[in-house]
Amino acid sequence: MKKPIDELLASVRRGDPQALAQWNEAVYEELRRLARAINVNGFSERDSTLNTTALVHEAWVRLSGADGLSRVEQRREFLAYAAAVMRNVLVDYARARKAEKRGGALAALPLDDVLCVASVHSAVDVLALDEALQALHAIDPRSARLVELRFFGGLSEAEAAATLEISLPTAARDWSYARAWLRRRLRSGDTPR
Amino acid sequence: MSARLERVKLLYERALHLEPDSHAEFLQRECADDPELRQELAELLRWKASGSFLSEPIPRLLQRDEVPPEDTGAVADRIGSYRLIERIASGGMGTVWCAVRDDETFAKEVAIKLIKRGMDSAAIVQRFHRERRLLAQLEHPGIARILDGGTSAGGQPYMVMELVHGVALDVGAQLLPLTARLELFAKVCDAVDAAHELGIVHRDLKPSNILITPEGEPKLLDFGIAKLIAEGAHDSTLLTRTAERLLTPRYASPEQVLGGEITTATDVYALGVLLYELLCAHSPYESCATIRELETAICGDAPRRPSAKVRGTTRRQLRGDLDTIALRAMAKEPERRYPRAGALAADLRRHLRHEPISARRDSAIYRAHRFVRRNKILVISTLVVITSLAFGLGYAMLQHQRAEARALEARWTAYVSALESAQAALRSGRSAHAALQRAPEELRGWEWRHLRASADLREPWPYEFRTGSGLCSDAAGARFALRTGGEALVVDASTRAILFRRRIDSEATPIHISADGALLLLGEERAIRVIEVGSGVERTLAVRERPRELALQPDGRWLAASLPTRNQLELIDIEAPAQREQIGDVHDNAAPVWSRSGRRLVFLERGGQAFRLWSPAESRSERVEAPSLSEPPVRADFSPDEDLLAFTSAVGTIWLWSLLERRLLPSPLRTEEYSTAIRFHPRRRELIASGSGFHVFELDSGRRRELPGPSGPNSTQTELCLLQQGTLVVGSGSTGLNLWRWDAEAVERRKLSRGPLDGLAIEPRGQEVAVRSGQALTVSDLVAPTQPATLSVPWRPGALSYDSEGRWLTCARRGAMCFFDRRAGTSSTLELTDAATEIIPAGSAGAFLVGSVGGELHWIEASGTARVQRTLASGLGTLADLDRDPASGRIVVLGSDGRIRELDPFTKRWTDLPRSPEGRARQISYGCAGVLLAACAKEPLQVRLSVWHRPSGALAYQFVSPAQTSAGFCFSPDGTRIVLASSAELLVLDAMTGRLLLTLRDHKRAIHDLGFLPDGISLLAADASGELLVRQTLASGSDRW
Repeated sequence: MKKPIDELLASVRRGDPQALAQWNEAVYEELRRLARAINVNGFSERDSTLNTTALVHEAWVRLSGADGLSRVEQRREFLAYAAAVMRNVLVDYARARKAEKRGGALAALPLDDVLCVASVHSAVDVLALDEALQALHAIDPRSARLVELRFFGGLSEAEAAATLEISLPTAARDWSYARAWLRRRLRSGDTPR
Repeated sequence: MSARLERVKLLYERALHLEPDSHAEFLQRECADDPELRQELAELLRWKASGSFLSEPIPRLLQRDEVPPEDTGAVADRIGSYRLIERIASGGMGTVWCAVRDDETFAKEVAIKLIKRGMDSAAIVQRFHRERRLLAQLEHPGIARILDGGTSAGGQPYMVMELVHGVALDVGAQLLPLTARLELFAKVCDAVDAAHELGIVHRDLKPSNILITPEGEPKLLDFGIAKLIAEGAHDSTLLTRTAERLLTPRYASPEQVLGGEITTATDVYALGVLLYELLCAHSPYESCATIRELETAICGDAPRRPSAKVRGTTRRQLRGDLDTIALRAMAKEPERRYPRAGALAADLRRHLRHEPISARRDSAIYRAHRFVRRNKILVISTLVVITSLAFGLGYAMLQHQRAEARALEARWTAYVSALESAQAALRSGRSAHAALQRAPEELRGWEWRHLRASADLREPWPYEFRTGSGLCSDAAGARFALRTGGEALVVDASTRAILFRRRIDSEATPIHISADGALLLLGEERAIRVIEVGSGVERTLAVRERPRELALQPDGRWLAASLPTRNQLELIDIEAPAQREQIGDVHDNAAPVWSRSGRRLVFLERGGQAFRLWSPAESRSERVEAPSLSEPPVRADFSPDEDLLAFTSAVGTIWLWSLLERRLLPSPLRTEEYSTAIRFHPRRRELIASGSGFHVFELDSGRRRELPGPSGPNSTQTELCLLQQGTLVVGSGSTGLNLWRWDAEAVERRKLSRGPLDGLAIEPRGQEVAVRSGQALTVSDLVAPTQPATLSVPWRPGALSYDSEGRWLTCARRGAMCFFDRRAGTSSTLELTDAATEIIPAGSAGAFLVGSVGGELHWIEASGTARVQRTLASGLGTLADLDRDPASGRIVVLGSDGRIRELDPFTKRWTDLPRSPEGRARQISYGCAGVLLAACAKEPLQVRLSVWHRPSGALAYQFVSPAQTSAGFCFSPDGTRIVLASSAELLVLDAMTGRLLLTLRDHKRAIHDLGFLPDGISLLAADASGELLVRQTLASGSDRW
């Protein structure tokens, strides 16, 4: 029997490195289950759809909660990890929605909102971005990682710099470079300003 | 990092600090030696990201949906002269509150909409005042009135509106029959038309803006508000677009997407989409994954006819007029739509009256067709022709309705008699399929599916052929195909009928059936034949050699054909066969398999050491390597949730590859013999592998079992296919074809205790069931049956319930409740002042409603270790039972004196409902999305069920059955059936009419409690013998519900 998540969190707080791995696994499991529920439950009840949104939030808040973890490096490690998970979840979800040509997927699902808001506020189509990031990763893994941390993980510039073990100016430069590179790659249709 | 990349970045950074004018000069100077570098930098600088690109990280977007702090923190408890009572909703534009006007003696509740900050408040308010007079004129019973508006002390604009109680249109209309749905929708159009009359356009019609009141009338919200906000936004281009986009792209018209002129036809478009969804329960552009795709589709793609998205009777009802009406309302060009909502309503009503609709071209044939429909009786019978001529059309209509009622009555009788003969056949060990097929299709419900499951599982090898190969089945296992005796056959798994047969030119002909069972594919020397099983119509796709294997994507687009001598896999778009892709370096036995969603294809690489995963959306592939060179893999399959890819080596090792983690799971499964075929169960995390007989691996419990059936060294199975949702396994091997049963019985008996099972609670996802028996409380896993686990309760357990999430289980007794956190495995106790008589989930995580002996109704929340307790009502008299309607949130309580009262959670008002006419009811329940209310009373020597039509309060029927004891009743999750416990029998009734459809008699002792799993497949009942009976149904392709 696996340890429950809350108990694991307590061990992580005490600084137990093994608990960290287990916690990672547990949270990953939860997000994965979530992704699955969202993918499969086209016919899910109205109530449970709402609750799924709540779950996404809850999982995220629990993952990134600042006071959840005392040791700074651990928090960073979490967030980096969570960034990758978030990217996976969103990309898989967007792909599923795209491929889903029929079936009872009438209800607008919670992640639709995220994709919608992402496209409005961050001018990003998650699938296209994922692809562009893979291309960037091939020539400049560090910058690609930085984008993942900042955009998918919500890390601040300083946190991301510390995670990648680079200086702040380097992080700023990489960030600016990566955005230009990605934007060129995506050629979002509008003319450059 | 490469030096070059470092240089690019450095130069890029330096250039950023320069004025754009000097970039060219800078690049000229710095990269004189490297024109390529110069080019790259020039482009990067051109695309140097500005504006919103990647500016908001995803986690922040996730939290954006939550109420922004200013909306909670800054909201005072009053706005103007209104006192805010509670928040009803929050959305893109702001929050909605329930409020009362303070200065009036009679406090009437209103709704107040607080517009989110960030919109230009002054402009909105100004515009509001300008349009206020116009909006005030908008008085229609179907429209929520706008009463007042202004700016709060904190500078937030607000609007005061009539408070409406109801459920959203899509929820409210869900269970109505088609004609009632159309009538309701015509009323929605009437209300919109009243606004169109004044030139007011709604602009944001969607289900959540159209409420259906408890009286069943529609009420529209937010008329004119979208316009105020859209035009009040700061920036006339960008923000308007953002605001409009954040509205509801699903119902947005082409002119809204393109920024064209908004007219009454814009609302007609949204009504068209709403009608479309009401007709077929699908969105017109549901395949779009992103906003951009959706917008493109809205402006460019013609939606499919609603009738094309459904099957059977509904398809016939929609085809013709309703398709035409919905598509006309959704025309891309505003001028081709109905000019106003009223015209749309008029056409719907014409259709309901069987008159010609205006949207049709006025062809003579069409009008004649309508005339015949309208006067069906007149055409059919001479006698009635005379009568209707004498009494006019009205009489003919009445006759028509009566004739329909009689015909329906006759169909019900036929249905019940078909069920009776099927049951008799099952009892005497004969085949029940013929009787079941006689039951009229549209009346079939849970009981029919249950009998069919029993019938399917009892048949020995029921087919007329005994050998064969090339086994394959459709996704539901309703049909399968195989080669036998020089023929290819398609067989209906349930009726045993051979649906299609055809000679094949060689035993090497690969054979494949599509996921929906409609197409049979045969691979011949230079062509692939694609045959429609129903009509026999076929076409051919040219190929360069005879394929060895065929696999069609589940949605029927890409066909994978392996070409063995070329070591290629050819992917053919069967909608456009010229469209092809070749994948090279493929094993000559590539064994292609699609995942259920069609997102991935797996096949074996040349050399046989690795599988390749190919995804058609990205034309990208990934390698999955076999971990050991000495165990080359042969076959693979995806788990139904697409988490895992399993592949087997011929020597009996099954490896599991996690598709999400992209790694091999550490411990493989072993059959310890020659295994060539593997498949996942379609609904469970179980895997079956061939050998001498079949091995089943339960992935979660790690257990392995053998399926009972032919086994031993002479019965090696080389192929398998699954029928009837995985309950039956057809194997092909040295001894010919045989049938195994993955699930042995449609009624599963589980002895859970020695004493009687007193009560049960079903986990809302159907994962586990909690049962109380005497002093003990146990939980049993329903998915992978194991020994029940005992939960320790310090007392004899009473009322029992899970919360709506299935995380908390609670159990009561006099003066206390015990909470079990099923995730954390912890428990705690809460003292009550009173004894709980009944507990039900309150609809949100961890929340329960508790009724007590002292006549109190409590709201109790279990979260962590703290519990919030709130008393919703007291002085209700001893409560016998309570229920909550999840759609409306209404709570009904049944007093032990037989009084029935209902609480509206919004108004906090209690209403008395009709009492049970005789006797005292002990149990009460909403059914059919709150349309029905049923109560059950145990009287001397009989049980009485009373059912009311809730909106009208009329008693629909009573059902009385002789019984010594009764554990009450439950509604099926689809709301169409009631199962009533009567001593040791379960009576299945039609919920609408109370007609007795079937009696289940498999319990030996009196039933103590019962309930359905939420998916509607299993019915559980616990009895005095300590047994829990789980009765299952099976779904099949032709019978979805």
